[in-house]
Amino acid sequence: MISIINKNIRKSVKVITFFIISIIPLTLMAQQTPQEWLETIDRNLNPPQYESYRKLINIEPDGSKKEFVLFTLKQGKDNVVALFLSPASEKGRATLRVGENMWLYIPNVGRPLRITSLQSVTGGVFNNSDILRVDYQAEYDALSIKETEEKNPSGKKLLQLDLKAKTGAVAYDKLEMAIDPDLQSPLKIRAIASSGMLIKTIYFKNIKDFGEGIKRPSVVETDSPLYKGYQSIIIFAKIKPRTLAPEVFTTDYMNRIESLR
Amino acid sequence: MKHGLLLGVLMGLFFITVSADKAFAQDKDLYSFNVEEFEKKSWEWSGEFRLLGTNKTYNKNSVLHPLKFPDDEIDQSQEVELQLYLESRWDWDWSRFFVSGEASVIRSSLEENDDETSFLSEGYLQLNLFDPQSFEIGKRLLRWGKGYAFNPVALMERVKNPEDPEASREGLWITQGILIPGGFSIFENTSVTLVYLPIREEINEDYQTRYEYDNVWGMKLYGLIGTTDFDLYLVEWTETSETDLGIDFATNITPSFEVHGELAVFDTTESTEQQTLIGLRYLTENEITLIVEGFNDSSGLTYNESKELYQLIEVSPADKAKPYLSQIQQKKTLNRNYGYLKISIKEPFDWLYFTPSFTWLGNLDDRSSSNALQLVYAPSDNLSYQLVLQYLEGEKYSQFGENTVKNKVELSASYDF
Repeated sequence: MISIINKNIRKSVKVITFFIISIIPLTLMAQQTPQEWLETIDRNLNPPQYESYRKLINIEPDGSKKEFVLFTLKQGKDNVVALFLSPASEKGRATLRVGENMWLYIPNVGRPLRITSLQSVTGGVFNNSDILRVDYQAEYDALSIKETEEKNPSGKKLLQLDLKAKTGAVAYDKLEMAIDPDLQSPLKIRAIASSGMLIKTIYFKNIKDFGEGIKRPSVVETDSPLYKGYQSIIIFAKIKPRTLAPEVFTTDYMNRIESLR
Repeated sequence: MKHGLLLGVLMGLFFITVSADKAFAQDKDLYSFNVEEFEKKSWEWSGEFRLLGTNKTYNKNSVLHPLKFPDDEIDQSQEVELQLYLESRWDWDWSRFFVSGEASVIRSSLEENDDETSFLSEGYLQLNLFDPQSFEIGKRLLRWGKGYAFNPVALMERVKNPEDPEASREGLWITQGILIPGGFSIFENTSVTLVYLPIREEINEDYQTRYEYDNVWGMKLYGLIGTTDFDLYLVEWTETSETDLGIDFATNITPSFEVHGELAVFDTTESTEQQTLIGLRYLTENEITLIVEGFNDSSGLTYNESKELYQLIEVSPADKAKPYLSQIQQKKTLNRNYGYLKISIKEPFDWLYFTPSFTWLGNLDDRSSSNALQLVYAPSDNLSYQLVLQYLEGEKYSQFGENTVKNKVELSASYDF
């Protein structure tokens, strides 16, 4: 009799344990904190270390365009370097970002010059902090997450993740990130100044499987009420994980980025 | 007249040719990105073609005017210049060979201004067997320092011209090793550069012409702490017992406000001189960039010394005036204190791809200055037009007041390929 009771108890414990283990991930997903959401977004947008090719297009109100092609390397949360491959007038230029530091290397000038996140090495709506995008968590704290009335194609409500800049040196004071809960990727980011003014809106489009577990938007577009009629687009290609030495992200290495292609 | 017509025709052809390139680019599919086009090639080359037309008005009141034009009362000249810059690189495994050079032809309304020049800017072999450490041998332009118009710590290169800081310069034959230990302790990044520069009869013989034979050893230590770059320099001229020391820094006080500075000390058996630079770069909210620099050279002439030189030139016959002239022309700066200001405005009045800028270079000792208005228009990816209006002013016996050219108008078109 006792052995039968013990057997039933053991069976019940197993069922309860199995049930608990089964629902833990769902519970965690449902209760994911804003910071955890931010980390998930960063990981889905960027592998820890990778290389990629990007085409940046600036479209003017009259429809004319300027195009730039960049080879980009990223390591950790806040090391990025980009080498201009095109047009011929920009070829060989390199921009490096290490945390809050940014430099521009111009072959004819020959030494890295400090630049700021608010400038733009390419002109157009994207500034240097957009072009040398580091992980959002390196620059922003996640404040809150909430459901919005907008829905994704499968009918689920989009989430809005509110971010606040960690320091005054960051290009935008606040970000409002609209997230597709299925893709766990941003669809739209509104960049807002400390005055509350909307600086620009960034759209993430065309989800693409780049292989090796990297699935992310392949097109990022932006427009701005400050630049009416202007549009800038970044198209991603050949994103792949790559192990890099930390020394690559130093000013003395900027004229040798080409050797890593 | 002949030159004006030639210039007009060439510029017209140039504009038509490159405008077609822009129109073609607009027809491409917006999201197309054929990344295969940008696969790395082991050999690549690129270049820039530049056509310039210049009108110079000479300063007939200058004491230097009779030396430049002994026979004629020349007050103007027109020049057409063609410049071609080419560079090429070969990459294989862990090595690279890089070469770049420039050639130019000037034809002027004054025959004595006609010129044809060409030089090898750089040509070196880079070995990266132990990447990220590298070793280079050949002709190289080091470009040390943080300043824009002045670089006191450019201890192993030809001095840049503050009137045209971005002008091409010729490198020197050197051997250099770059070690990148990376970050440690309070340093987020570090590097060590060791350089050897020989001076012989046929190698670097025109560099620092006071020395005919020497071995120059240089070391640069770089560190990044927080948002500040630091460099320390030590250069030793072994045969002539000269030691040069330097330090520089650049930091961002705010995202749009950068400060930089340089100090170099030149210690020889005869004297100890120093050069100092302090500067800033500020970007306003409406994208106006300001560059301000102040420069001091303790070995420069005082106002009275330079005034005396100009007076000696004025009263001396041409053959006797030449040593005084060479004393004036031996350095890019003549006196001790200079100021530099550059204001550039990005696309004012929503005029796309148009960047006007104004540059003031002032000799603070004799209160003379060089003032230049520059208008740059870059309507398509590889094409740009530039108009420069330069005006020099100053009293008699001052550096810019005695310059042989009083003002200059220069129109140019550049095409990169």
